[in-house]
Amino acid sequence: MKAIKAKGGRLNKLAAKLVTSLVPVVLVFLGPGCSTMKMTPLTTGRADSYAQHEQKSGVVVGIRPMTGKREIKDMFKVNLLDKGVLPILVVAENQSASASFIIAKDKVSILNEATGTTSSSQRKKVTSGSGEALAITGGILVATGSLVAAPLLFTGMQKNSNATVIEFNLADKEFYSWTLGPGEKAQGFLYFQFPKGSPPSGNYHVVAEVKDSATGQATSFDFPVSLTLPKL
Amino acid sequence: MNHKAYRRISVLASTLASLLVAGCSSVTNQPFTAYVGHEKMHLKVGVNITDELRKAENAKWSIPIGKSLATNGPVLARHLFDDVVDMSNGQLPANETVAAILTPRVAFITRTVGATGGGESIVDIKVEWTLSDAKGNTIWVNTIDGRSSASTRTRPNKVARKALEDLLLKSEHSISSAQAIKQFAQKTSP
Repeated sequence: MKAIKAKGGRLNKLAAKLVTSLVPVVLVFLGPGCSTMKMTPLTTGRADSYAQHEQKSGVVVGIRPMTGKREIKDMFKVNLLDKGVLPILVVAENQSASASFIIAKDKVSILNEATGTTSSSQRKKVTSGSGEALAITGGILVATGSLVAAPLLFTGMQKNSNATVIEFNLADKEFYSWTLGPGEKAQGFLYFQFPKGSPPSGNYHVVAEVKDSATGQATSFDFPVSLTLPKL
Repeated sequence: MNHKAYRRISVLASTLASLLVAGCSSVTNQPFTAYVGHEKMHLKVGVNITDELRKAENAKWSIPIGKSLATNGPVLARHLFDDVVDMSNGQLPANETVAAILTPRVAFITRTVGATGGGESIVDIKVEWTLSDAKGNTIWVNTIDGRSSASTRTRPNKVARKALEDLLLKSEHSISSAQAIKQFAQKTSP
C-alpha cells in the first residue's frame, strides 16, 4: 500500500513538474513571440507623383515596379521575388469633372517585348502549409500527454497564423476592377509571375485599358519597363 | 498516477488544443435587410445569380458565402432599384426585358487566424459587382470589400456574417452613389 502511495506521489510530482516547467514556455510563446502578424497599410501618392505616369482623356495612371527586397518584405512580410512574383504598383486617378472611367483588372497586363506574350496579374500561394501541419502534430502530441511537444504546437500555430495573414495581405493589396467617378482614385498591385530562380530581365510593358463608362471609348496606357532583377 | 495529476494534464492539454480551434463555419441564409434608406433608382434591372456564385465558398473554413450572396443579391437590388427581375445564369424569364444586368461574383474570401486563441482573426470577402447594359457592355464595375474581425476563439460563422453585412452595406453605398449608374438610369428611364 505504502509502495503504491509512494509511486503515486512520485508521478504526481512529475506531473506537477511538467506543468510548472511548461508554464514559462507557454508564457514565452503567448508573449510578444507569439503575437499575430500586423500588416502594413498600402498608402499611395497621387497617380502623377510616380515617375512613370501618363495622363490621357482626364485619367492619370501611374505605375511603379517594386524591385527592392527590403520594401517588398516590409509591405508583404515575405520576399515575393524569392517566390517568383514581382509586385507592380498601379495607381489610377480620374481627374475629369464629369466622366466615369472603368479600369478592369483583366485589362491591366504585362507584355514581354521580346516574345510578345501577355501576362495578367496572378496571385499565387506564397506560403507553405508547414505551420498548420506542425500545429496539428504538436496539438495531437500535447493532447496525448506529450507536453514537451508544446513548443512544436506554438511554433506551428505562429507559422500558420503568419501564413494566413500573408496570403490575406497579398490578396487585399491586389489591383481589382473599379469604376472611377470624378476625383476618385484606385490603387493596388499587379502580381507578375515568373519561374522561381529565374527572374525576368529585359524590356516589358505594363499595359492598361481604361474605358469611358458613358461612351464606351477605350484609352490605352503603355509603360515601358526595363527589368534587371538580381539572380536569386 | 493519481486522478489530480491526470486532471491537471488533461485540463492543460485541452486548453492548448483549444488554441488551435478552427471550427467549421456557416453563414446563415437569412437575408440582410438593415440597409440605409434612400430613394430607389428608376431602372429595370435583372439580378444575375450564377452557379459560379452559388458554389463560391472558402472550403478550408467552410464558409459558403455564395449561397448567402445568392439570397442577398436580389434583396439588395430590390432595395436599390424600383424594378428588379431575377435571373439565373444570364437567363431572363420568358417575355421579360431589362435595361441593365447586375452580376455579383466572389473575387476573394479568406479567414486569417491569430497566433493564439485570443489573437485577431479576420474574415475578408471581396465581391465584384458588374452592371452591364442589355447588350452586355459594362456600365459600372466595382470590387467591394467586406471585413470583420474578432478573436480566433469567436465562432467563424459569427465573424463571416458580420463581414457579409459590411460587404452588403458598402455595396449598397457604392451602387447608390455611382455616378455612372445614375447617368445610365437617367438616359434609359428619363
